[in-house]
Amino acid sequence: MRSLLVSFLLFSNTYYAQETPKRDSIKLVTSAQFAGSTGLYSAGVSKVSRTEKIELGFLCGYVPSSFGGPLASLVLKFAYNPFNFKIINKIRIEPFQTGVFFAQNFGDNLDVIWGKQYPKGYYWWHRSLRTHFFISTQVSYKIGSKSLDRIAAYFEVNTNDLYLYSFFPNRKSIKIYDIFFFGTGLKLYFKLPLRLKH
Amino acid sequence: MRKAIPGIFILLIFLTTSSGCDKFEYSPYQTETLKGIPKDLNNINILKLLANENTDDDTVTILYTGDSQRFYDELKNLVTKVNTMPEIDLMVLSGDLTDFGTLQEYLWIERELKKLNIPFLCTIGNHDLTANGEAIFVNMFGQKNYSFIYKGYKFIFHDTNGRKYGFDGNIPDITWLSKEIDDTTPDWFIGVSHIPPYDIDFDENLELSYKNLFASKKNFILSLHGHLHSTSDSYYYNDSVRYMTSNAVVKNQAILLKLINGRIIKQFIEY
Repeated sequence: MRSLLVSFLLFSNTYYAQETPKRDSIKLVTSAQFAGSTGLYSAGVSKVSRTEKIELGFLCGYVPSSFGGPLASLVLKFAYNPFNFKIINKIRIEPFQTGVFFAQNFGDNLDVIWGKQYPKGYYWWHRSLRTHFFISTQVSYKIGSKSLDRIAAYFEVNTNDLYLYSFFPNRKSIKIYDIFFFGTGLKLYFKLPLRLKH
Repeated sequence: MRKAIPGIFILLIFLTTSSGCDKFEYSPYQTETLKGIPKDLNNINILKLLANENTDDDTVTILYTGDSQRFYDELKNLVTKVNTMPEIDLMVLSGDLTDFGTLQEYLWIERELKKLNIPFLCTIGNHDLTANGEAIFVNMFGQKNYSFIYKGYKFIFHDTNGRKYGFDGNIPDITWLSKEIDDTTPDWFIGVSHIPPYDIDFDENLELSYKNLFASKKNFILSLHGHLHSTSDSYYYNDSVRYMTSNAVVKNQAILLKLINGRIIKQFIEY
């Protein structure tokens, strides 16, 4: 599944790179997210491909103690947006986005590796690095100013490797709805010029 | 059609956000949810057990199992089976309720256990102690070491997961255990913990004092454990204490223990 996704991403990248060789600006997106398994709040920045079909970047998240923390996370996130529809003038919808993110979690009991009291392979799963899969949907509003291209709101559902391991052998008692969790956020899409215009 | 899409999108967000706020996960490792998680389950179940204590009948019937980690379907079947057996007083889980110590797993396990018609009591396993599992266990079930007396039997649930603490000489807590055993009220004593004292995950520096402490009481009859995922039953140290381990829930076979005046009758239950 993961390799399929990666090859899909690579393929799309090459294809669009050939289509639009001119490069005069760089597209970036910043995001602020509520929940979504990376923190109570997370913030991040991603590079956006020129065709805006791929986003690749980082997020940092934090859960305060009053919300079941303290926990922090550092996330590497790939997103693929295969479709977008212009609805009316300035509104665009990307109904289906998908991707994967790798979340390194930090907390009092979440060291990167297992403690030295455990022989190698004692616990088979990675102690605090989780692989998540997500699907999201997004609506955006065109601003079209010099650098701020559009703003977007998104809603995302994700699951992770441990929940999937729990789900598959337990089809009677664990439902697919049980293993997916929600997040929502806002994004700002920037188009920053790479050279000055005269 | 196209004009309807934003409407559908907004409706979708509204429906999903309003349908249950706990679906907004902050982290797989969070220890609490907005709605709150069940609390103090061991105490609640002890009170339930003692409330139904029938002093006319001194037989205690226990459904004994353990290691339910990631075996939710089998646990569901076990719960259904136990609910058809009204003679059972309580269910004892010998640790490793969860596999990865995450809150969701605790909640999924509790979702099955709460369907039981009888009280259930849990001890902590090494898997329950991974990640933030310890804090979640304490929050949801209560103290790791606890005891109660039912129909003259004193049940002593305690943490024996020595490896987790780097074999620091404090787990199991021999001082606490000594105090619990130094009690003349009960007729009989039964220990419940996850790792049996002869296992490599038990703190070997404490093995001798642990088993000697149990054997020092002639009415300490039984020590129940899990961890091995298979049943065993012996007077391991050739003293007066009978040591048992339970099947993991996945094995579709649990143990029924009938305690009659300190005598133990063991029977296997398939589900």
